[in-house]
Amino acid sequence: MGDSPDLDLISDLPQSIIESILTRLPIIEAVRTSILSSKWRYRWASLTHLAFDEKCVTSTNDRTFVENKLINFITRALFLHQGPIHKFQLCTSFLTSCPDIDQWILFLSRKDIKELVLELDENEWIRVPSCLFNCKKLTRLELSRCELDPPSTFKGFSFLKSLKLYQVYVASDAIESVIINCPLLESLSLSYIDSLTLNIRSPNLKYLCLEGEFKDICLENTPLLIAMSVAMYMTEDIAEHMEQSSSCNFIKFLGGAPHLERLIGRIYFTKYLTVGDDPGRLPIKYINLKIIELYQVSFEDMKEILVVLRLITNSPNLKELQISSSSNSYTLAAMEATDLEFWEKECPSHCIFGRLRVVKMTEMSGVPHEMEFIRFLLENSPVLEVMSIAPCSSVTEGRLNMLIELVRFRRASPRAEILFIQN
Amino acid sequence: MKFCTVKQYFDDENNNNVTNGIATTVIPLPNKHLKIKANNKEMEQYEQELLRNVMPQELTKLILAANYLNFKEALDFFCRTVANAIQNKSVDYVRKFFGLESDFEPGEEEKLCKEFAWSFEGVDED
Repeated sequence: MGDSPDLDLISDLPQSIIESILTRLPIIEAVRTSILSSKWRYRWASLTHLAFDEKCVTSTNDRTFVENKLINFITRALFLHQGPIHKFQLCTSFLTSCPDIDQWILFLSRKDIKELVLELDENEWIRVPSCLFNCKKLTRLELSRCELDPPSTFKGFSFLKSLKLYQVYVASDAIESVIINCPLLESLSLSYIDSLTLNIRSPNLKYLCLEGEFKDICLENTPLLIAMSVAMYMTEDIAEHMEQSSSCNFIKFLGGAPHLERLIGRIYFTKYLTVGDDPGRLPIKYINLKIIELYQVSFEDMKEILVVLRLITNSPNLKELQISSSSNSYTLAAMEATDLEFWEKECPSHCIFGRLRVVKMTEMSGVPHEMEFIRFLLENSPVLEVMSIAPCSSVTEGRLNMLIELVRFRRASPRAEILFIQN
Repeated sequence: MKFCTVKQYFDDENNNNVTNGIATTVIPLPNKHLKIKANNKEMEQYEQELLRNVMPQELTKLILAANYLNFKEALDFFCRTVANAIQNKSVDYVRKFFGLESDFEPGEEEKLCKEFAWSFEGVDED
């Protein structure tokens, strides 16, 4: 009894196709193919992509039982594996810190690992073993919830293109040194790494994502940056530090990214950019910047408005602008026009947004400066197609006033539609 | 790019890798793909249809054709279809699907099961 060569559809397919099929199955099923026939006994063992999670083992309520089964499964799979492993992914909350993880990483470091993703439990932070830093061929590294401490002899990952750290406990200078020693780095994402003070020097960096409580960030050398998404949270510590700082955050952050195409700023981002001395006229124009999204912008803070103005007036090719306001205090006091000469003073007289097509304003309360901003945009955007305005849900009585004002505004674009979004 | 090998195929008359029937399924794929790219549900339905109407043999031939034509999206799609077809199915089902026969000695298969016991849990009924 043997395989009839006419009937057997699959055994002689090229390994790359077998891999393409087996890696689309949960790994446990790929391993099961070992029982199909003698030819298949170890076909799965040459897979170069391995992805493990707790679905590899039957789930029960006994966490320790699941943990032990999972450790057993992964260890055996790795032990039987042949050939290089290019991608290894482990995402589970069932593994508490265990020496097995260290051994797996040691094993992977000897198998030419290129992509490593480790997402572990939030209650037990493992300390990433030093053998991780021996994985010379790494092109992508993603770590969640662990402690990172590169040895002093670490010279960087020469091939690393993508680095993502989420809730990782690591020192600022360690991250800085990793970044600067990964010359091919294109994508960097740092989330919820507390109190980071960073000087980012990364000549090939294209995509940057930062979220968390950052003390001080300077993009010192990021000439190729094309997209940036930043969410800055505030603590008392950071607020104090900001008060004492004199260096201009706007320049520190955006001064070195002339090819930026897309900018997203959340939480206290615009506030962060107000810190420091006023940069005056900006030395650079963001000629590629097409999309700007800024959230939680306070239209009661002149400095924040100035930051927004400075940004958009130096982006001649801006196509889409989205601003979400944080001024949700609809009180009579807030409605009093204060310092409206600001607009005449600060707006460049011949400012035209020649490519601006879509503007979305959200969480509006109708405070004077919000309305002036809208007026400014309508007057100076000759190709505008849509201006959409969504009042924030707590504003009910002010909506009519907002509409009355809106209707009066002159529009440079005959095609402009003003959409007032009511829920 | 995608279709330079197609031209090659048509120029090369003695081609054993791709039969006419296959070419008519693979080549219209990019258009279909583009049209329903946005809609995942439709892709799923198309996949179900493919599975019902096309025998596993044809499916493997499609895979080979897509591979030969260097058509990555089609290749990914067909591989995914095959993977979905055998996911969570018993050993016998998968053997039947691919036309494989067990060539283990009696008792050897049992031994193997024990060896890989850690991977045999929670399978679909046939």
